[in-house]
Amino acid sequence: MAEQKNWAKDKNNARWDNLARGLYRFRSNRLSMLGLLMLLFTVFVAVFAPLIAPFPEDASGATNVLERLQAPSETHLFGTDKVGRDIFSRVVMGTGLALQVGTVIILLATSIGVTIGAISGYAGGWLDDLLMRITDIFLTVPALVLAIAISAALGKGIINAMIGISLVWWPGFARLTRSLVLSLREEPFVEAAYGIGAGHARIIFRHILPNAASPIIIKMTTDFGFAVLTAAALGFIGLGAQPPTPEWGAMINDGRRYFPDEWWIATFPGLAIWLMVFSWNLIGDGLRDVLDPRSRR
Amino acid sequence: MFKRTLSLCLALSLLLGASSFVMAQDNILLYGGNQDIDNIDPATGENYSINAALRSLYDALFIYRGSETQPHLVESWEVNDDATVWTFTLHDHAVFHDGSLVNAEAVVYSFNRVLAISGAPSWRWETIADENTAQVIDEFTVEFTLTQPYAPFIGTLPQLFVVNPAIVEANLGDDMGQTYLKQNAAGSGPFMQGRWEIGNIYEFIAVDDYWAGWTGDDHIDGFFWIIQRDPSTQLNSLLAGETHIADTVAGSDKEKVVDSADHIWEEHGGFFTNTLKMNNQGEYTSDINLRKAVAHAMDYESMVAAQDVPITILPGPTPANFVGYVDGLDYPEFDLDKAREYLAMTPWPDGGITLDYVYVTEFPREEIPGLILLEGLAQLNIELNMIPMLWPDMVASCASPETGPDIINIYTLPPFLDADAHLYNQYHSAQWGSFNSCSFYSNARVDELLDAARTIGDAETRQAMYTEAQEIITAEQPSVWMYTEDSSISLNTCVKGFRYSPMYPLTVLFQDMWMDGC
Amino acid sequence: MNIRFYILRRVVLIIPTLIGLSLLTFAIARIVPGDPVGLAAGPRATEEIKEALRREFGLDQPLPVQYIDYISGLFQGDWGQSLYTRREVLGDLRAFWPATLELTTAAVIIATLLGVPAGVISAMYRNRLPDHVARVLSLFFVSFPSFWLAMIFQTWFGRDLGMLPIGKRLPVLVAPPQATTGLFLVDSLIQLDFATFAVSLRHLFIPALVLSFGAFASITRITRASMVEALEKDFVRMERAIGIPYRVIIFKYVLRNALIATVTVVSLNFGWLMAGAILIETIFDWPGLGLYAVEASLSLDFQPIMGIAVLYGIVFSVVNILTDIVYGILDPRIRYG
Repeated sequence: MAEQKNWAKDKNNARWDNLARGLYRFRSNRLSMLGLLMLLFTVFVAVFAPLIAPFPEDASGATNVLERLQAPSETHLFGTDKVGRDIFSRVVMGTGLALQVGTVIILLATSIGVTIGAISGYAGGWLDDLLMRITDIFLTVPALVLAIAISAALGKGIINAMIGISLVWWPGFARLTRSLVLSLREEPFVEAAYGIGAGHARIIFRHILPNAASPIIIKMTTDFGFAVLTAAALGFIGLGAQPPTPEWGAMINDGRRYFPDEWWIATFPGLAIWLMVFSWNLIGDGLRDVLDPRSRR
Repeated sequence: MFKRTLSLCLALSLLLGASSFVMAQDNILLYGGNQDIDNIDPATGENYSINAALRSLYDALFIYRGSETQPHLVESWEVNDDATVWTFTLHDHAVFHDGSLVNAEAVVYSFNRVLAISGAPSWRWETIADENTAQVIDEFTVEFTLTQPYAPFIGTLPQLFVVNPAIVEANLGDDMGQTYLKQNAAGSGPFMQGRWEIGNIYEFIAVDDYWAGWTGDDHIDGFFWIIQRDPSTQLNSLLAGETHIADTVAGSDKEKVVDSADHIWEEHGGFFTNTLKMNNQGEYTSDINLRKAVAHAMDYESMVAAQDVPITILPGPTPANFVGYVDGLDYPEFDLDKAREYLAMTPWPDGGITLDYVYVTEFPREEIPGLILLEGLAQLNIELNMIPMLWPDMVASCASPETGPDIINIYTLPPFLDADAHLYNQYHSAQWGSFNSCSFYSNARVDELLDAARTIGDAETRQAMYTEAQEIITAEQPSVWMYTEDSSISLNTCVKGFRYSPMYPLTVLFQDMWMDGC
Repeated sequence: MNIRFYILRRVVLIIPTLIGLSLLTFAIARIVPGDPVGLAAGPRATEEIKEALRREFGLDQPLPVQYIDYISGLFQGDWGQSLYTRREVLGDLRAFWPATLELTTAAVIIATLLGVPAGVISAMYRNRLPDHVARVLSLFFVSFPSFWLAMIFQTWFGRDLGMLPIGKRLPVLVAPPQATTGLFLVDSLIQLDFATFAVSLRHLFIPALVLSFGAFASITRITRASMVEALEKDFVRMERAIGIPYRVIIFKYVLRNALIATVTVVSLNFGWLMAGAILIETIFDWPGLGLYAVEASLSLDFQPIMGIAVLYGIVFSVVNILTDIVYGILDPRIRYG
């Protein structure tokens, strides 16, 4: 028993060492650090939005038609929209929403995908076959097409858009988790745990999944940006948030009618999306190098 | 190396080189239309773009030119004293595109088909006609015996487009030819269908020896209805000479059109009327004081400033420039103090309620007033829940008071120039269920007045009745009266023959257009 | 295993997947909260008219019956009718699909032409400046919302510089070439109509370029990774040792090996871009499946949406099979089993 504990401790130490080494390598990757800085910036903006935005009420229903369609100026850094709302305030106030949307989608998709993938890989047999066939069905159609269909069917609204996207996002996680579980299932420490009579749930959650965490985390990070993009796309089509919610995709759609003469209405929300997505993509790229060293030599 | 550079240059010049292809062609009018023409069946289709197509492909008994209703297929007509029996003599030389004659039988067939299908255009006749109304008297005489007197009948007839019975019968299917006629014309109009690229462009080719002749000095050989969903695309194409007419250019871009030497901006007051219908049977909006509070919380002047199109504030039930308008009634204005006074008389003196505001999705002209009302109501501690919907869903929600939203943004266009046209379909309780009457307003005296006025010929007596009805309606505030939209359309100066008509304010009468030096 | 038998087996295996897919889309279509019949019947329809429509579209049948009707129709070429426009879905798909196919194919070609060289250069200059530049650039472009970038490009090239058309596949007055494939570039070449070819190429260029950015990053990354792997193989080292020029090695031996992985990514991207085309088409008034899909889903017209999903499913599966075949050509060692 004592020996077993030591072994577990060693394993934990090894994990820590790996992590420390990884962190070092991540830190030495300037691009990823830039991405991290950009991400921290967006989080900062999201948290302190009401303090940063000069007209926070413009995100929740105030209008000022006498100052409509004004070009960027000192008062209105990013200009104003069709009813005189301050674009800068709306972009700032929308940051938190975008982060939330991305987080919810990724967490939902991960939990569905990892559960299905783990069950599939661990159980094998007909259950594996069945689950993988279902996963395949989702993978046969581009995610955006299904997401549009599901969100449209559920009805317009940002919650339904998030549900719609999550429901088509999980198959990637399921496939990944399954393949990880398949290879880990044969590892000696899993067989050892099995040998001392650990239950299935315990084996999956305590022994297999923690060791499958790195690739899953990489995928969560790299997918985050694309989830934000997809949500913005639904907003752009008109399936997202309802007014006056400052959702970036919907703001671009709003500004489309005024583009290019009143270019600022659509331009700044677009740049905001880009900033957020780019930061996640840089981080994801860096993490891939750190956690999966084969990908970059 | 040299060879490769050369071919690269060649490819680039092909790709980017000056436009070597034909941009415009003599005498073909290129029209940038904001809306698709997704249905050309006269029995089911009705909106500005569909009507523009129907007027071109079909002929009707009458036709609007400017604000006049002129006989078209009809040569002469008679009506009895109480406006129930209408007898029309048709031209004897009007022919369908397949050469057969447009006769009384075709008129009766078309009228009955509209009634039987009961699609969008049929509301004009549903309350005044049945399947026995239209009768063939002889080859070129048709008689309509209405089920009740109806003085403004002729005003409804420009929408009665005559279909070729032989073609419809040949393509009847199991839906009275609806599937076929949605995409295929069976008419006698000045144009025939050419290239018909669904959702993209539609070509109309002029009929050389059009039976009615052409009104203008000259006529176009045809036109293309090019769907351009973006107003900015419309503007750019117009200014670049890729189109000759753009029907939806944002008001804020007016100067760009005016400043370019060879374009004109036509702007006219119209009767395209916007109102916020409040559900008079609804949980909150059945309270008259709440309705008054809402009407006084709307910042009308801001709305004028914020709308992309030029608009004129609508004082009450009838536009100030329309038949039957009554001056000097107690029409509401933006006044938050007054709004608070009214609110104090409701069961919710401190607000704390949420009202739904339903409007057409992706339509800023309906979103903007909502945003302004939202701000005004917030001062009263009333929340406005903005719900964008598709137009057909909105219409469906107007089916009954139970499904009717608290507040719904509705555009109405009077079908003809008569006080009846604005008042009856919006405020008569028999009209419940149609989007026009989505306020579910009901007042026995108003019903009585509106019914009686329909049967009377004398203009003064009628006006007295309409005045009394409007006094009652104004006092009860069933809706928030918003504005009438001024119509604007941008044309290249080489396009001639444009004449503004309040009956189709968003487009042109293609058969009267011609081109000079395009 | 014989390759023909292999392909046949793959084709047959598509069928269960498609049945599953049709079940999925059918389920989605039936959770619609709105009233699709009210929509189809029009503003003033009475309850009787709606009832008649329900009968006509079989919506009064129990769900399993409806589904079986639908699935058997699919196999007989009856993909249902749009509730709203009353047009046959299959006919609509036939009309709109070539536009999307042309756009997507062009985008995939552009992405490959940009991405593969970028990946090769990255691998050759591993961890040096060109590598970093390619990496940042690909991440840079893939992070833009494509519909936003489309708007910007449309304005720059179409309006400000006036170099390229603003939208659509052809100018209004240029009649589309006689349809053989529906792809204007191909059809105009068949007709030897080079003017139309040039014009439609001009219309295609910007939408396809913007669309291609979505695939640029992954193609670059995979090409680079597999190149690096190939470069470290023994035979490459040996060839370098015996003095074969580096350029020759790269192009003659390494690239061929690396292309196998790239083919997979390119084919995967084909599917993604076909979805991305939905957004691009709305900006450029490109009359393809995207515009069709957006309008159908906004109006809750589910028959077309189900049709689009099934069509995408078929295309995806076919592309996958084609990929496997190309695999085999590139790498004769692969055995079909």
